[in-house]
Amino acid sequence: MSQFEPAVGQTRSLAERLDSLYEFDREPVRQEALLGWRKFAAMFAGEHIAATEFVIGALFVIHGVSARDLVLGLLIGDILAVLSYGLVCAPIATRTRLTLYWYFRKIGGPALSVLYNTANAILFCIVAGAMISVSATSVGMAFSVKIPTLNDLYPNSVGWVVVTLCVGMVVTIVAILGFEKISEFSQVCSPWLAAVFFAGALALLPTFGKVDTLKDLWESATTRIWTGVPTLGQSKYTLRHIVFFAWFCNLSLHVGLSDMALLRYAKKWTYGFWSATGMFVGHFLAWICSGVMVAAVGREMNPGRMAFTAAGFAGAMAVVIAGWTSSNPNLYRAGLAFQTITPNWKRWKVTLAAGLITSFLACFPLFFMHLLDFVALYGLILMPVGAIVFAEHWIFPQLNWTSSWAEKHKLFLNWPALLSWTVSLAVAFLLPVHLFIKGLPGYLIALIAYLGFSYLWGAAADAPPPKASLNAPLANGGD
Amino acid sequence: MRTTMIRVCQVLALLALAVCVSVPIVACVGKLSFSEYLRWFNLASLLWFLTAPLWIVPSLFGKEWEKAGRLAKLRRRP
Repeated sequence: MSQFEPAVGQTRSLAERLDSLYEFDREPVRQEALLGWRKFAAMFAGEHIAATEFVIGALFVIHGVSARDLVLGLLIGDILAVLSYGLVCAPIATRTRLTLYWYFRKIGGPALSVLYNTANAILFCIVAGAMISVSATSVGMAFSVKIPTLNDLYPNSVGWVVVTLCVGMVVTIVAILGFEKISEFSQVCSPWLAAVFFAGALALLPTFGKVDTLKDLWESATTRIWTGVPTLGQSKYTLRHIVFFAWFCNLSLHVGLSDMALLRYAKKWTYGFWSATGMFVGHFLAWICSGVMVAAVGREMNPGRMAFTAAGFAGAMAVVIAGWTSSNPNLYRAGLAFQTITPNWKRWKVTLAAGLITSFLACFPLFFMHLLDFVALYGLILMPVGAIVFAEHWIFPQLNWTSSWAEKHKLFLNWPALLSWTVSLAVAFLLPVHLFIKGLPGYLIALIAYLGFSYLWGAAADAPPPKASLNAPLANGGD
Repeated sequence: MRTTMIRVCQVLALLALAVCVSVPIVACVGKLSFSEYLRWFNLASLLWFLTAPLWIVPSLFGKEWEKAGRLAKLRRRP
């Protein structure tokens, strides 16, 4: 296997560099650093009001969701999401007090943590790009730029490219100059952004007809906003689409365990249920409000115009600010991940590179026009990591199997983890169900596959594998 | 002085947010025209951004303000 040695060596040093970047949070959170429930209620509420909310709620209207399906679907989906935070993510986070990065490194080995980080970085760039596109719809309006339409996959005008690149560059430069300051400033924006959604939708309601009673309101909602009829060329969404989208739009965060980074600071595991503030303000109220706004502009998928119609200059600014403040941390995280493959680059150079990639992606409207699919795909790709960690944390001790496999045997790569990640994704993509739903069978497949592969690789045996190396499959036989 | 300013900003910011939330309700029930709603909402938004940063993130304005923010009675200690 000598031909593989240089590659393995390179990956090993890559992993070491990645470790050094995350060095500051290597140790479990200390008791005195734990935070109270108010902090979590506020953090969740703030995190889930972003530029994407302007697009998601609007796309539900365009996909012909009926009012009943929307309300019921969001209620069920959001409750399931809160339960996923409270029952899956928070208990593991508060027991380990580690970030997913370090916990998964113990389980999957350095090679898999590099792979996870790289996948995350690419996905972060696309998310940040979609948010820059959303901001550009608002800026473009001021310069009468032709905004891409729903079916556009590529840039439709030079003006759009210029505006998007300019917005992207401003976001990048500001992120280089002071990422921390913007993160702090975004705390100021969250309550106001929630107010913009609420105010915009409420003020526009009378344009749909009488709203004197709840019956009138429901009548307007069912016949003028969520009519159940999709826009020409768009697929029809029903209750199951809404339930699964609301549940899985943060799949990588709750079931995928990324939010261990946040919840490891919680005094009690029950603080995971405070995610309800984010789910019901951001993923219920804001989505419903953006649905009202898009219906008021004749179902034109243009967040800038929607917000301007609903709240004037403040609305247009809200779209710019929401896009800016939510793309900023994504750009930073992407830069952090890219820094591992560019060891001699300074942080500003890496952030600039990530910003250039992001700005380029932002020019393509397909990312924000197909945001629902992309968000579902994002969660799906990272979700198997959550299943692997769940199996190691809860199921392995019950079966008396060896936990933290890679760390105990000093393995560079946990093959069962890599195989179950790949197999579960391959099977999930082949399943004849809608993309939004694939996460559920995908998770179960990843869980079962990991248990199966780990058994085959000798996790059930007490003794370590005879040769703890990269190429030691079935080291303990299939006992 | 700084502490007092932070307290005043907190009160004004909360007032601005209250206006942002209440004017659309008044507009929705037909007691305020849409253009009036827009005017009030935009003014309240401006007030929010002029006052809320000093209350919520005084550290943005330097160490002295950060210290004053901790001392402000209305503001919870981090």
